[in-house]
Amino acid sequence: MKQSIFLNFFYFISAAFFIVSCSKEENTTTLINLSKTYEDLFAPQSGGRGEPISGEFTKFDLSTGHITADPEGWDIAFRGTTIAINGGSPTGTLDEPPRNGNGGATFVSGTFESVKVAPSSFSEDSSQGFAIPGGSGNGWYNYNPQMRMITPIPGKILVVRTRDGKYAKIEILSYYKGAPANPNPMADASRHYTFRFLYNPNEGSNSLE
Amino acid sequence: MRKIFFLFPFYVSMLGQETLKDTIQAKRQNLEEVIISATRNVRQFSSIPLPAILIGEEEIKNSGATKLIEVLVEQAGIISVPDFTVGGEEGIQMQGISSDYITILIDGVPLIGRSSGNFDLSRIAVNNIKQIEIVKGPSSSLFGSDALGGIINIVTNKTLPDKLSGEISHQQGSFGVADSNLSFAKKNKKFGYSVFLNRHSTNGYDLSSELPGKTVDPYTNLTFQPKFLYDFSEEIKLTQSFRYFYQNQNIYNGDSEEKDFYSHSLINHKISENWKIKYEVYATQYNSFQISNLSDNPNASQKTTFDQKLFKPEIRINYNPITEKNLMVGFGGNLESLDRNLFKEKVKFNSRYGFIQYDFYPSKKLNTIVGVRYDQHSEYASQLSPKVSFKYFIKDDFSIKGSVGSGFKAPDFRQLYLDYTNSTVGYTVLGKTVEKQGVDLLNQNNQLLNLFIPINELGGVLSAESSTGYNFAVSYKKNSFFAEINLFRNDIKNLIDTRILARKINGQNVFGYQNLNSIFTQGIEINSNYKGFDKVTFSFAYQLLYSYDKDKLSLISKGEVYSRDPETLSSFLIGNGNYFGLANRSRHSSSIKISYNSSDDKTRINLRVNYRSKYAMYDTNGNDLIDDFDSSFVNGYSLVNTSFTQNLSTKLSLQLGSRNIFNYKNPTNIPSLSGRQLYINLNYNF
Repeated sequence: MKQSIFLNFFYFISAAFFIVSCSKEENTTTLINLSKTYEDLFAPQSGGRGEPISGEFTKFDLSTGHITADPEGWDIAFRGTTIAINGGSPTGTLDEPPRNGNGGATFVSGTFESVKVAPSSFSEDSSQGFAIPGGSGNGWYNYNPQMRMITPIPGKILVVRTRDGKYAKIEILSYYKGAPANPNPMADASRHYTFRFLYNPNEGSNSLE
Repeated sequence: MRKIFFLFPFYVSMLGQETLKDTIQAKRQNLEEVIISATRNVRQFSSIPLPAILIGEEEIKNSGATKLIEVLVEQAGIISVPDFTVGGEEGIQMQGISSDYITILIDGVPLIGRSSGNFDLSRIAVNNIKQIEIVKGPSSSLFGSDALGGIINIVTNKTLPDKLSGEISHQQGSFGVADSNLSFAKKNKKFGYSVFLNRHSTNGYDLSSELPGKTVDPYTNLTFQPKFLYDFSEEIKLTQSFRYFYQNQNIYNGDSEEKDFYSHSLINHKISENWKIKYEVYATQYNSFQISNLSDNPNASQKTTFDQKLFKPEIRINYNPITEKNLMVGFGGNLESLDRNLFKEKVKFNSRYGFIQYDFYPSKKLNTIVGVRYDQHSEYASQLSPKVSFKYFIKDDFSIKGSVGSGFKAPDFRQLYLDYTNSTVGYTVLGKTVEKQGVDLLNQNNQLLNLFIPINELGGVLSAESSTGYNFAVSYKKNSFFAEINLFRNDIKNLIDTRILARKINGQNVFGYQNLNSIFTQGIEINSNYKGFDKVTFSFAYQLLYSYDKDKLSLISKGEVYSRDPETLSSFLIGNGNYFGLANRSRHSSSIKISYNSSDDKTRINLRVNYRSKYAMYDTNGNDLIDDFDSSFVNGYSLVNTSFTQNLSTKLSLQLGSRNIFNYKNPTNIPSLSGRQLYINLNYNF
């Protein structure tokens, strides 16, 4: 008996422990990272050709993987070749979306797969310019003036800290509609972003695998 | 290389200007071909210690060419490179060095008018050319700026006949090409003259009918080159040449005009048997004007003007104490100006220079030339350009030669003074000297969003682009066989490129110029010919070329360059083996020529094949270099030209010919290839 009581106690403790550990495990279950390719995000702009560029940015929510009209629920936003981030302060460009989040952006060299953790330092938009710099060779693209063609720089992986402090990596694949392998800037519509991205929804985790 | 008897007149013409000593020397040279621009003195071609090509009058005439570009591109390793301008101006590449870095000379003086870098070689008619001299490798030790990759000298000096004689010819060909020539010359005891007149017109051609306008628009041009000789005495002789060129082109929705003019005076003064002085004054002007109506609104028409002037006096002193020793000292100046609608105001350059060259034989079998030139310029740092070359005859039929020389190209007017804001896109480009004030002005007008280069780093000095060239060749000549293998390498540094200075509130960039890249080109050239058959001559030439950007090579070695998978579009790392090299460079190029001359020389037939292997036009996958995964590769191709010439009488000859006989076309990538051209040419000598 004595032994069985002891055993029962042991079973009880074990079971309790099991339940506790189970519930604990329940609490720390890793959410699955969202990894997909978004095709043809249209990012029109007005102006240019000597006039100030204007027009609304196309906002994108990395947690859902969709574009959004929500003035607050966005992480990155596109207009022409310009990319804004939901973090920092206004840059001074016309029609830019107000920033209310804690976003940031930086580039890491490598292939999409080789970028496995988010770095610790990020830039934010500010009156000094965008976190993702514009201009050929400065940021995400090279411009070929002969062909008037925008090509994303290969091996430049954009790592984003989202508005609520999560991490994501983005590889821009194409600036032309339908992401043709050999775009013809005369025929293919530009300002259509195709990118693949991976979003880690786990609070405090900087893993990008 | 060419038939000796044909070169005889040219050789004789040289006699008129040279001393008895030269005569003896020349006689020993057995009436061989001579080259002038390699040393700026008449030199036997086969003994020259530099890599050079000579194209004689006979070869030019037999090829049926009407324009210089057509002659040059038939040489192995010389590639035509079109500009992306309205006229599609064509320049050439040599040893992998592009046309901006090759000086074009007529009778030793430089031609100007490179509105966008290329000198348009279709501006030069060839019917009056005595020979074309091509010297490869840096030649700044004699010619100063721009002779970084080599020089091309067009020799028009001919022997003037005692009796008035000349030539009338007309060529009619496909695409409405009509080329008419008239030349005549005469010399009395003291006075002589020669006149050359050429009119060339074409209807142009259209390779892509879906696009507005033609691929090459119709144009007509006119060349007038009179030359006068006057012998003040046996010792003092004057040559005065003029050139006038006018071209009108009906471009799509507009009009384009080009003009050039020069006056070239040369006085040969023989002070004694040992001392000779040449006084030269050269003045030239190039204008171009273009108007294009982009819409129906006449006020919206776009005008482009370009007005360049050069005045160049030079004195060369030759000291020739004994045969086969020649010391030359020269000095001169360049006064240049350019007025261009893209500049705030007319800009001026001044430079002074001096050079010295010693050509001697340290031993019987060894010829050495050492030379150096110093250029002092008003706008950029002074340049010192040395060059050393040698030729050593190991045996009579076997020799080696080598040279090391430096070359430079001064920053051009555009890189220094451009102040241009594109009215359609809105970007701004500033030349180095106006960089700081331009950015300041934009800043004051609140046009700038942010500055990428600190304001105190703006302005400053732009260095000349400079190169060092190495050539080493082995030649073998026995009986009717000749072969030469030349190894070359050109290291070019301080290449000027644009960089972004600032970003404007319209999202566009402000560009400036900066010394950035270092590149090299290296390879092997083979030239050979065989004249052993009775009536047939065979020649073969080949060039192997590697050309890379040194900074890109080091980035790839560090593992910092990625490419993009053409299928999945995802990035991957590339190695040096994937780096194809600089744009528009073919690894292999070659030319084969077979010619037949009947024993009475009345019938002449030739077949010329020119091949270049694949090359890429530009980066397509965003890594700013050309790798194996780019999609702008142009497949290798051959062009085959042929001509048949028949003398109908001693005075009249008929030529039938075809350029690009197999009608090779590539409208998207090579718009300068019109397709097959057929022509008929009548030539009458009087």
